[in-house]
Amino acid sequence: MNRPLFLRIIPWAVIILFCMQPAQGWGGEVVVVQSAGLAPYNEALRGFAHTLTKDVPTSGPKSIQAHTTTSYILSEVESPVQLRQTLSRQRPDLLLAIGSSSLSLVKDLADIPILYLMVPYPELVIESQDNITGINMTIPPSRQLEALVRVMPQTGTVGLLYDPERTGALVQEAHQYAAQQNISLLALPVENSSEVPSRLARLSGRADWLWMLPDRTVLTPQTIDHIFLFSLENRIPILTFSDKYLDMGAVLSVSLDFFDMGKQAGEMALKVMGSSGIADIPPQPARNVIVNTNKKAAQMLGIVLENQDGPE
Amino acid sequence: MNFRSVIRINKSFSARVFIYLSGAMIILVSTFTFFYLHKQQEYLEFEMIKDGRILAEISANSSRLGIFAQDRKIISNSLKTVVNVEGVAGACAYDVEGRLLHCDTVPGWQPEDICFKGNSIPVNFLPRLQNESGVMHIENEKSFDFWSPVLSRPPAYTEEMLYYDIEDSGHPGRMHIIGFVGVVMDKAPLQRAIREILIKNLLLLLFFLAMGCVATYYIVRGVSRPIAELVEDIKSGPHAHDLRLAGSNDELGLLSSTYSDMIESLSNSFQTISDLKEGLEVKVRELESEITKRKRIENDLRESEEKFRSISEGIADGVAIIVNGKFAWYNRAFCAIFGFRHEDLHDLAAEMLLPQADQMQAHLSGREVFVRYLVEAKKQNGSPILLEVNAQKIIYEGQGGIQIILRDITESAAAEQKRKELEVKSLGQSKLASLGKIATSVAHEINQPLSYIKIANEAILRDIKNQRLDPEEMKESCRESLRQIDRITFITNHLRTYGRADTSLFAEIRLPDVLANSLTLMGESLRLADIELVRELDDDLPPVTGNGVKLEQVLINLFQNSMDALTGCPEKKIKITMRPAGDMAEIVFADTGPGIPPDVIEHIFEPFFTTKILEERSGLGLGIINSIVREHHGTIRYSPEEGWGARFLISLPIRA
Repeated sequence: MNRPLFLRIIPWAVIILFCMQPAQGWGGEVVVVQSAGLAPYNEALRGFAHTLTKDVPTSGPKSIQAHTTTSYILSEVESPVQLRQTLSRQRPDLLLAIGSSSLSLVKDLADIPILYLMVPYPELVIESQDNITGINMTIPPSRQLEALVRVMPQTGTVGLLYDPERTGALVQEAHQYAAQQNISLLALPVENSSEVPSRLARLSGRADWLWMLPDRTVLTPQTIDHIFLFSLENRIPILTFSDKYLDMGAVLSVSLDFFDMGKQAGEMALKVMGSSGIADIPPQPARNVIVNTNKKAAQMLGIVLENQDGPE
Repeated sequence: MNFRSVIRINKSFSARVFIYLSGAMIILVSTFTFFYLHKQQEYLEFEMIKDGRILAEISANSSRLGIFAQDRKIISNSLKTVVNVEGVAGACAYDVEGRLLHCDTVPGWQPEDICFKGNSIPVNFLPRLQNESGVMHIENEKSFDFWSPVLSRPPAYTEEMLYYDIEDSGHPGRMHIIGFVGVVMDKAPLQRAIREILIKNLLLLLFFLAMGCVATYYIVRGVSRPIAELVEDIKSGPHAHDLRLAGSNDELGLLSSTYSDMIESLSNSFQTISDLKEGLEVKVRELESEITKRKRIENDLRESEEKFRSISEGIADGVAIIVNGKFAWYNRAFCAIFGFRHEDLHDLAAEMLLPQADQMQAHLSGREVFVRYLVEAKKQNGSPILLEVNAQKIIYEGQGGIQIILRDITESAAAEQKRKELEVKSLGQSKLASLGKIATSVAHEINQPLSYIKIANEAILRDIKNQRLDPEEMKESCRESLRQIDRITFITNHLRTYGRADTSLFAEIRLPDVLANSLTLMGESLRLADIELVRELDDDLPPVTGNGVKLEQVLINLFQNSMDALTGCPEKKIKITMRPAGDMAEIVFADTGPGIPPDVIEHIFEPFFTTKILEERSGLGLGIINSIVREHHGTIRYSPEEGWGARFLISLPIRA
């Protein structure tokens, strides 16, 4: 049976054209587990969602389907164990754990890519696992000292208390950068919270600034008031890592930008759900910080800040 | 009031008032002062305890860091502030296991006065402190000890809490005890303050009592002055118009006015008593007279009762009193009528003897006060008796009852029945007798029309024989003959009616008609006897209710008596007058005969009484007349008049 040539070509042309039609990208399924309904967590989640929905074409030849996001707030879930079982069965494309509790709950789901966010010390929660990465909350000491030098270039000695087991590495890193900036770092180790008053007394008259590190041994409910009282009585301003201490009397804070951290995690998530494997993406530090000053506290302590543009 | 009068309490009203008021004031002020002192002491202790608790809490808060850090210097600095407070003897701090960390005292107090021996909290006391949630205080001889736990949040910070507050998320830190502080308050300032208050208040008490007594004295004197004046006025004598306060409008004025009125009333009362005393003897005499009178009345009443009993027992009628349906009293005759013994009827139900007792009770319970019955009863032996019972309401021994008086009329009723029968029989006899007398008159009366009819018929026969019969004349003769036959028929019918036995029918009748009917039977006799009849009949005489035949018999009897009486009299005249007299119709029947002798006038209406020869009259005439007139509720009396012989006046009620 000899058919004309064009009749024999048409079916093959149709098949080829069909194969040449660009395929639409499939959206990933993202589950967010949030430790609590705190404002910082919500801020970070808002940044994360912002990134996931930003610049995604939903129509046209290169359109992709929007990612579906399911959120759980752990403090409102009746049975966390049941939630973990559900997630295990559901096997989403990505699991975002916001807060240490959330990460603790989902860390064992080895076959699900997990991003953590707002976890201060992830190494205390997880071990090195290939399916887990995230944004660390550690603010590099260089960023903090940089901000300090910016508002008070003539800073001489910065005193700090630290638990070597918790923040020893951070202090070590700080020493290196302080040396570069000609800042003398008077770091006094504290092994027990009850040592804080006596150690603080030793800083009296010796330090120009008191650097407050995110150290649970130093910062306890019993010591926190005393630290600020010490600051006031000895006129030593405090450099801290969170805005919340500004209201208590700290002068300068170099704190994390939670929204940006969310965006940063969102970008990381896109990579994970894209071509890159999660094992290839290491944890990253927060890329952005916010510097704020407490002018009233500075005024009470009798110091003058320069280059200040933060809120009062 | 003066002080001398105060001493004479029993004799001075104002002194008593002063004493009472002063006493009451002293009691009240003393009670109030001691109550106030007690409250002050309580308040001072309360304040001291409150201060101690506050100081203990402050110590616990300020020494928290020092105890947490177990830094004696920090603790010392914290407690020094408290120890410097006035009244605080010292303060000490212990760790959570009760070991002494620091002790600070004021001069005059030693650490051993404040701290526990052995520099540690006793084992038996430590659990009490650990279980106490707030400040605990203990009172000692010299001091108040205040113990407070030192609380701290647990070092349970999560790493996140270093960056942001998460306590609002439902994870507040639980407070726990990290040590104890004790604050000792010296009691000496408190006792000093109490002593000062006591002295001040006692001095104030004495001052106010003194002032109060003086004020009371003057107040009482001022208040009692009008009373004293009033008393003096009263003492001076019962002269109402002399009272100085009588015109004021206050209570004393009212009292004075009242006193004046009372004095006046007393005077009037004395006068009245005097008058009464004078009149009392008169009244006593009057009373005695009244009592005597009453006694006499009582005697009379007793006698009356005795008489009543005697009469009641003596009379032949039965008397009984029925109370509550039973015989309460009855006489011998009552028992005898029924054939009972006296004691048999005691408390016997009245209905047993008198079947109509209930009916009597019912009648007398209304407006009726007196009723009369004919009662058919039975005697004890069962024989029937007919009783005439008169019953009336009475009050017997304070209760409503019925008094009955009954009479056995069994025999009298039978006699009356016989009398009535005899009367009827007499009436018939009287009629028959009258018929005998009037037969001649009737025969003559009938004879006249019969003669006319005979003559008329003979004339007709004669005319027929002579063939000279005139139809018109014959018709007239026949008509006249028929009229004469009607006349005969009327007479015979009337005669038949008159002789009929049943004459009890009463109807409305005219007396002139009765007279005419009687003359139908008697007219011819009168004419034959040549007696002139004079009739004076009033045209306005109204009819009477009665039996025409009986009344006709009355007139016929009277006519017959008069015809008998007029026999041989030179003037033979009978006058009949019929006239109204009020609500009565009067018939005066008079003749010119000899009249009735005065000695028999009172017997003329008795049955079977006659002045005529026995063969001539039965003696029933006037007796029958009297009976018929009484039957018509009328009267008949003999009423002689000058110029006339016998004259009878019959009065009959118009429409009786």
